[in-house]
Amino acid sequence: MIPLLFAATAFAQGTVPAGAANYGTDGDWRDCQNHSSIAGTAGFENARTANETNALAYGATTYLQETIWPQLREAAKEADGDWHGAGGYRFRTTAGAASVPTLELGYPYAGCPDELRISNRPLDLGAINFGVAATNGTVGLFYTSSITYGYTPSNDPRERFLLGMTGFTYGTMGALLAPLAGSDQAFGEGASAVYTDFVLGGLFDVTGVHGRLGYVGSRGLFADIEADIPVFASAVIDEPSLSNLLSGGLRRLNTGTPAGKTSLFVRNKPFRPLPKLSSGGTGLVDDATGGLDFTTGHLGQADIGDHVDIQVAYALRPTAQIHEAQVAVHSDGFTDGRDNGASFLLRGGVVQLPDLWFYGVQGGLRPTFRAEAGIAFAEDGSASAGSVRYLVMMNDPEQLLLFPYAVNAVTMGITAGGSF
Amino acid sequence: MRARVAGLVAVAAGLGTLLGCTSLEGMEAEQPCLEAGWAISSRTFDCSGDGERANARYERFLDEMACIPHELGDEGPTKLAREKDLFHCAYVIRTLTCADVADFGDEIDAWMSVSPACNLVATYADGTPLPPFDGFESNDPDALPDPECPTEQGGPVTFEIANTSPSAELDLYWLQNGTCQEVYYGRLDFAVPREQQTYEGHVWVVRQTRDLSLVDWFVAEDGLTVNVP
Repeated sequence: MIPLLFAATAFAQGTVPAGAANYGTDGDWRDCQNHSSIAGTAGFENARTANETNALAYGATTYLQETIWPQLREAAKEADGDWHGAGGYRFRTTAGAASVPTLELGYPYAGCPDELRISNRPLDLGAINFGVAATNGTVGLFYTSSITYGYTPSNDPRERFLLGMTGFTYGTMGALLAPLAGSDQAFGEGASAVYTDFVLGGLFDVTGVHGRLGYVGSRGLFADIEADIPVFASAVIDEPSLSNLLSGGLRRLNTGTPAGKTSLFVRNKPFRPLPKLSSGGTGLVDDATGGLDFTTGHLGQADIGDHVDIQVAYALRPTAQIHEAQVAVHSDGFTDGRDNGASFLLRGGVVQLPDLWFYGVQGGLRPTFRAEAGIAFAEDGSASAGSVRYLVMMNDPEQLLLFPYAVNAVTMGITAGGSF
Repeated sequence: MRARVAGLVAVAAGLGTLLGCTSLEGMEAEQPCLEAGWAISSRTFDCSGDGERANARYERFLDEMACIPHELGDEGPTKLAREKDLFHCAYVIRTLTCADVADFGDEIDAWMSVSPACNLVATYADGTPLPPFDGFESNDPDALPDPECPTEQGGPVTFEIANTSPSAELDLYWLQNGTCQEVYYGRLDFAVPREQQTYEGHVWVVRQTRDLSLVDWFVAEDGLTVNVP
């Protein structure tokens, strides 16, 4: 099935004149025109920001820090002086991160409307990462790369499908070849910009201190020194991520079998004015530090009977209301990463954000779901391990923290990783 | 091999889910109007950092305005060329300076006076049309502040001033200490430098002859040379 889909994509790529996709097909789904986003609309601003957020969240640097280094650290934790390595691949696509008003000029070909049209188009985002790293416990090397992009296809699901598959295939090559882009790692601007990036460097580890020195394609040299910090400190402040999260409380406190693990914490997520991008925008943000604080209290019980999770969250401000209520069923050991062999997670429920009129989005309860499936292997007594995991989610809190203006966006992802 | 097969099956299943669940929303007939309200909220948020005030201002917009629906096509895109101009209202609002935002505050009709397109997308809540567009000039963030009345003076000094624009008719005024009244000191003819004796710290003002609008002002110091505009 998959080779056939690739062939269909290639056919479409090879036969369609630029700017006049699929005219003359006698269908009502053709997209005949070049189109552009309408400036001044909320969707225009959201889409520009979403594409840049996607580039940061799924860029080479983030992939290195959040995926490859932890994998390598786990593989080399025995400190036996041997060389250990880790590598991975990740594909993420988010369909409908924003809804963008667009203008299409008429196109005088048979089968195409010849007058101006206005419609809302979805913003679909893609991101692909590749990374490898190795260390002997004292020194090592690492390399990661990324390509991220956004586009506004028509609402036709077939067009979105083909473009998504094109991104999957060509994007993989783009991620591998990212260094060839040289120092200019951004192409185009706004919602349709394509960003590539890579990080190449070396590391050293001595007791309690981890140093890294490298070169980031988009930013130049970087140095990073990290010291191991006591557990109690990381429990107070964690997740200082792109989402500007600040949270504190109990995380996965083991309460025995079959009760599972309890989490109880408070979190604050400020919704910020959208940053005006270097590539354009109005550039008129006076107070970029302000925002709407969204404070939530979370209570979760995981691994009930080893297979069930329950999590609820209540918003304390700006409006007191339910934020999240979800139930998950999963295979044994899924949430701890102890899975070996096939594994899965199915989670569903409701999620609610406050009104965010400054993003052009109304709050309210929405359905949410998340499904993950994968297969993993690990050799007992060895650092050798590998996994492939698939993910699909809609209105998941993870998505909404990155793209709070997304309504019913669907994210799909594939990750593969291995270590020795 | 098992992992590879599982991955491929997962790809197919995921794409099927994606296609089945992605929202395919069209454009609502009132969207150009709502965009204006969202733009008001957004600029309020940008300039104040106050999300609750920004949300409240949008709700005020909904209370005070009634949207004019346009056939933008719930089931398909519109074919009316004029419709693109409807978004000009939101566009201009999003380009307002923070000085404008502060000036307009909660006066929604002031926000809606910035573009002729605003009249096409909204009326007052009771159906009364918005006032006809009467032109709009944004506050210039680099605009010259009003002259500050001096409180102290030093010893005698001389400055030189010249009108460097052949089309400008300019007048020179002294901003009198204490009374803060502007005292007329004569015309500044083009390309005719003028030496003026005064006291250090005195404030001098240049205005257009035609409408007395402010062109420049400065504090006198010895040896100062001023070229206007």
